[in-house]
This record gives sequence, C-alpha cells and structure tokens, in this order.
Amino acid sequence: MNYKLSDIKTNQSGIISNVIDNPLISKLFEFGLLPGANFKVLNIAPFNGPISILIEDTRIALRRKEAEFIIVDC
Amino acid sequence: MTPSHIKIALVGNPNIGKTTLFNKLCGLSQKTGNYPGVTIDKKKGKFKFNTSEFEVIDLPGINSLYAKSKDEELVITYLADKNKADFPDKIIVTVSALNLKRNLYLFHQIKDLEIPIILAVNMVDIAEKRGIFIDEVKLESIVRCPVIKISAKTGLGLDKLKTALTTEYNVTKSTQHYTTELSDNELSSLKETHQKESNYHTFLAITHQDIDVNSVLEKNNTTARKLKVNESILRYKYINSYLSSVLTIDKSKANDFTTKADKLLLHPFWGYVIFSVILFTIFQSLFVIAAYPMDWIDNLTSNFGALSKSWMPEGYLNDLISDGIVPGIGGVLIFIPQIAILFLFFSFLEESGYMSRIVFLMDKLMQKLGMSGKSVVPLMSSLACTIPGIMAARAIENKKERLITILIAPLLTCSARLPVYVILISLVVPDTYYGPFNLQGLAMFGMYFIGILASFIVALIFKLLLKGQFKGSLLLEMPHYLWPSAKNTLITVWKNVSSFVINAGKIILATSVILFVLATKGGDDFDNAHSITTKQYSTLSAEELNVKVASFQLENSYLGMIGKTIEPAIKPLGYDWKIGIALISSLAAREVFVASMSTIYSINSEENLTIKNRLAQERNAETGELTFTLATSISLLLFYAFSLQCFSTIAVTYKETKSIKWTAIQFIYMSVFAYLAAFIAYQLLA
Repeated sequence: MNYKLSDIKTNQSGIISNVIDNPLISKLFEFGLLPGANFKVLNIAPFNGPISILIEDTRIALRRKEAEFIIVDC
Repeated sequence: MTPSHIKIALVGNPNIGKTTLFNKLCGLSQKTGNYPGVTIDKKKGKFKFNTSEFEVIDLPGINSLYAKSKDEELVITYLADKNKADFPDKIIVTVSALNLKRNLYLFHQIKDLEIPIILAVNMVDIAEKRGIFIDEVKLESIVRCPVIKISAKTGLGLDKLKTALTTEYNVTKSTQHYTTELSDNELSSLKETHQKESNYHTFLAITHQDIDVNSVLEKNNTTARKLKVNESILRYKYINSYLSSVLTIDKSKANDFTTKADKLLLHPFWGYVIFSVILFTIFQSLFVIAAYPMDWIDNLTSNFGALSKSWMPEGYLNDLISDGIVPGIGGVLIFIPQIAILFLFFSFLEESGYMSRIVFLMDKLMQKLGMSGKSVVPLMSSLACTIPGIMAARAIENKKERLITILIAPLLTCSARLPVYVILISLVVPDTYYGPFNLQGLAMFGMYFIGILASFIVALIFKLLLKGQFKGSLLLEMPHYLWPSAKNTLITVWKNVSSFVINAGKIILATSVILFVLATKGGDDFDNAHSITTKQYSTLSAEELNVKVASFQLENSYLGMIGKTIEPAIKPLGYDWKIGIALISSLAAREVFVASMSTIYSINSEENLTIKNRLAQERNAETGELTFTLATSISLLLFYAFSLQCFSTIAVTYKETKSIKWTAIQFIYMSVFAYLAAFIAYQLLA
C-alpha cells in the first residue's frame, strides 16, 4: 500500500516508492531520501513536530510538510 | 621535492569529527577569528611535520555543493576559485565511517572539482567496534585519490595522513557520474566558453544559474532543476554500485545505542523534561560552582590592589595602577569561571550529538515563533555570547527565520551580563537555601527566564510584522551519540576563554584607564576642591574632611560632569550620576559595568574592599540612604537584561544582515524596551 511518509507511525518501516516534485526535491535526494531507499520511522515530535527516520544507516529529521511529498510502500 | 609550506583545508559534512581532527592536528596553535563560540567563520591553525609547515583552514560543515545556507555559500565560494591567494594546496575531505554512503556524496562532488584531495575516513575505531569494516585499498583504487583511515579522537592514522599531505600526486580525471543529460563534449565546450576550471565547475554554474545556457538546456530537453535532481540520483547510484565491495557490516556487532537513547531523549514528554533538567543544571552550575573561583579572583584582585598601593611610591601612577588598572583587570578575570563552565557544557552537548536533538525537540515551538529548530543552537550560543550566536544563525536557510533569530539573539542572557547580575543579585537576594535550591541561583535562573520570555515575545511581534518570502524547511542529520573527547572539549574551552579575555580585556582595560583619568581630572572646582570644602565644612575633623574632599572631587571631575549631565534622564529609573557613569562606560561592552563601578567607588575610598562590599556600603551623599536599594537594583537588572550595550553585537548584526535598517531597528527596540522596563520597575517598587 502507498502512504505518505507523514502518515507513518513510529517503528514502522518500508521503502520510499516515489517523491512528488517539490521545491525541496534536490535537497531531499541529497540527504538520501530517494525512491528505492529503505526507511524506518524512529521518533515523532509532539504537536505535529518533526519526524526522525532512519534512512539506510543515517538518521534524518524532517518536518511533516516535507514528509508529505514522500510516498512510501510498507 | 617537498614543499616547505603547505596550505590545507578541511571539508566535510557536519558532525563527522572534523573539528576534532583540526584540534588534533593543530593543538593549541590556532587562531579562532575574533570571537568565541561554537561556529566560527574560518578557523586557521598550524602544525609541523618532518620539514614541512602546514597551515590548516577548518571550514564549516556542509551537506553538498548546492548552497542552501550562508554557511554553505561561504565554503562553496571558497572552493570555487583556484586563483585566490589563500586557495589550499590540498583538501582533506573528512567522512565518517559510520555514515560512509551519505558522506561520500559530498566527497565525489568535491573530487569532481579536480583539485588535489585526500579522503580521510574518520571514526574507524568506533566503526570497527560496531562491526563496520572499510577496505581502504579497494576504495582508493575506485575513487583514485589517497584514502586514509583515521581516528581523530585517538590519533590513529594521523602520521599516514600527514605523510600523504607531503606527497605530490597527480589529479586524475575520472569518468563523471553526475549527468546523463549533458554530454562530456558539451560540458567541455561550455567550460571553454565560460572559462571555468573543470567540467563540474561548469555544471555547478549551470545548476546555480550563474551562466545562461538556455539553448543547451532546451536542446537536451532539461532544466537546471532537473539536472540537480538527476545528479543526486546518479551519484547515489554510483556510490551504491561500489559500496558493498569496500564496506562489510557485521550485523551481530551492531550497536543500536543511539536509537535506544533517542527513544528516551526524543520522547514526547521525557525528552522535554530531560532538556529542561540539562538547562537548569547549566544555570545552577554557573552560579553555584562558579561562585567559589569568582570569590577567589575578587579577593585576589583587591589584595593585589592593596599590595601594589603600598609597594609603589605614592603618586598618580600608583593610583592609576592600584585604583584603575588592577580593578579593571579584575573585572575581566572574574568572567573566566563562568565562561569556562558555559563552554564546557556547550562543547559537551555539541560533541555528544545532543545539539541536533535539541533542534528536533524545539522545531515546532520555534516555528510558532517564526523561527526554526535550527535557531535554538544560535540562541543557546547567545547564552554564552551573542557574537557567535548571530554568526551561527548562518546555518538557517530561510531568510525570515534567520533575521528573527538575529534580531532577538541579544535579548538572551550572554555571559557578559553575568558579572552585572551576580553583583546586583548578591546585593538584594539573600544567600540562603530554599530546599535544594540556592536562592541566588534561582534569581539568576529568573533573569535567564526573563531574557528568554522577552525574546519569545519580540520574536512573535516580528513574526507578525515580517512577511515571509517562502516557507522554511528542516532537514538535518541526527548524528550517532558519541562520548566527547576530554582533550577536544578542553581545547574548545581554553580557546573561547582566552579569546574572550583578550577581546573583552582590551575594551575593559582601555575603558578603566580612560575612566580613571576622567575621574581624577577636572576643571577649576576640581583643582581647588580642598580649599572649597575646607571653607564649607570648617568644623569637621581632618578625616571627615578628606572624605568630603574626595567626593567633591569626583563630583567635579570630568567624569562627574558627564554623570551629572545625564542624571535627569536616568533619575526616573532610580539611578544616580555615579551609576550613570557606569552606564555610559558600559555602552561599548556591558561587562565594563562592574569594573567601572569598582573603579568609580574605589577612587574616594581609602580601603581596598571587594567590589560587592563597596557597592553594599555605598550611600547617597545627600540623603545618606543606601544607593543600591531593591528598586534600584531590580531596575538596573532589567535595564541590563534588555539593552544592547555591546558594540561587537552591533557590528556583527550589520555584518550578517548587511542592512543598516535592521541593525538600527535592533538597537532602537532594545534601548526603548530597556528604558521602559527599568522605569516601570523602579516606579512600582520605589
């Protein structure tokens, strides 16, 4: 099933299937948030705060708004 | 042939131990620019190896060669121009063995600039303990530049690295892995037309839209943005294609301490509790632990003043040294314990990897205030000193978020305010315990709280007033937790303390001498003080008369005249002309206040008392009431909490915003705020 990364709960993992075109896309790609990459959601800050995910072996924090562009399979 | 003088630059992602490497290479022989702090402009250091002398530049950590923030822009501009005089002979690209894939991305970008580089794979010791092994010989044959495994913390591999630095090698052009849209021939011909140094320089110029090549882009049915996106995909594809042949991971040794620690440290509730406890501990230590060495320094200074007074022949020079310079120097030295403690904590938080967690925890709250989680680090640095704080704001990509951070940074309690607070609090708050808490420590916490609260309110106001150009974003790496190296931490503390003492010391010493001269010279009334007072108070004893003469002299000195002139303006705040003098003298740097008070009050006193006792005993010459009443002290505390008395801050705000308008707005809003707060407090309490 396809979800947005912003909808994924803590400890769930999967694969990034697509990244919707957005002004930040090249920055997301540079951080390794590319289609095909494995991820696991590690922490979610309260009150719709940022999300911390493990992507390959790197921990990356990003805001929900950015996570909405990332389509995942899990 | 070995060149005798080699310039090298350290480049790498944030949090990969680059600064540790820099400290290990250069030890204490480094210049930190002008100001203390966590993030510094361009750090330079030196070291010798065999017959060669090395000059090292430590550049801020960057994620890629696409500038998103001022910090990144700085590095990219620096690396772009080979013809610049300070261009390095060699570049060390540092990557972390714990994070090889992502760090290699930046490495390949820099490699494509066709400048001599060495790849230093750091933290190999920790990596091997966690079952991560890297085959550097294989990696070297793939990337075709020297690859050295090091541990900056233990010094492992550093001699190899230094040897590699002295060895000449030819830059080899490798097959490019960043574009499929543009052919090598097209890039080469564009390189010639636009006189770029390499094909990749040309590619960067196209994607940055520095050069106009619309026809070429149209012909290939692409855009600058598409090129950028495709570069990331191609580079990771390339790295993935060889990574498994150089990297072996033994999963059985994997240590997931960081994930476990984050479960607690980033917990929606406990994460914040722990963060608050850390902050509170820092403040309590600042007051309780620092108080002991501060007392010693204070006593030492007053004893030294008494000693120099009795040892030297009497005269103006003796007075200048014992009553002007010695208390002035004391005013600088008294800072050392608190600054050292503050930087000790900061350095620890930064190196352990916790700073990034603070960004994560605070991002949502900071967004409500028009800033980003990344504003927390500059703002926390501002608790040590506003200068590095404002400079650290460069890491914030969004212009509005960055501007608000800069504007409110000076409201946070910097260490220069501490001596002022310490003295004033010790005058009005009893040194007793309420449960486990020291009351003076609580009062200090209160002052920090007031600064933070004020900064939040002002940030909200600016958020509403400023129109946002575009939405900000947050993307940051959360490094592995690491135990900081003691040596590294101590070097950071030493560097910051020494540069603070030198920079603040110059201002304080100069101000003390000027103050002393102004206080001991005056017009006709000053010169005839003795005969005037004798006539007026003919019935007094010789001793009482001396006191009257001294205070008459101070009042009629040039300094006294200045103080008297501004007295009407500051009287509603509860200050007399003597405090007025201290206010004026601390306009350039607020820490001067204590030194000034100490100089002013020691001029007409016979004994060499500590600063605190001197202020506590000070009485108004006309009314005989204590000068530092509760109302006056609180009013002064608030004035110092909000006013922008620091020339260096004004200068750095201008440098960072390049705007006279915003520099002026910052100074004016803070001055008005300070005056009103002090006025209201005094009128309510008096």
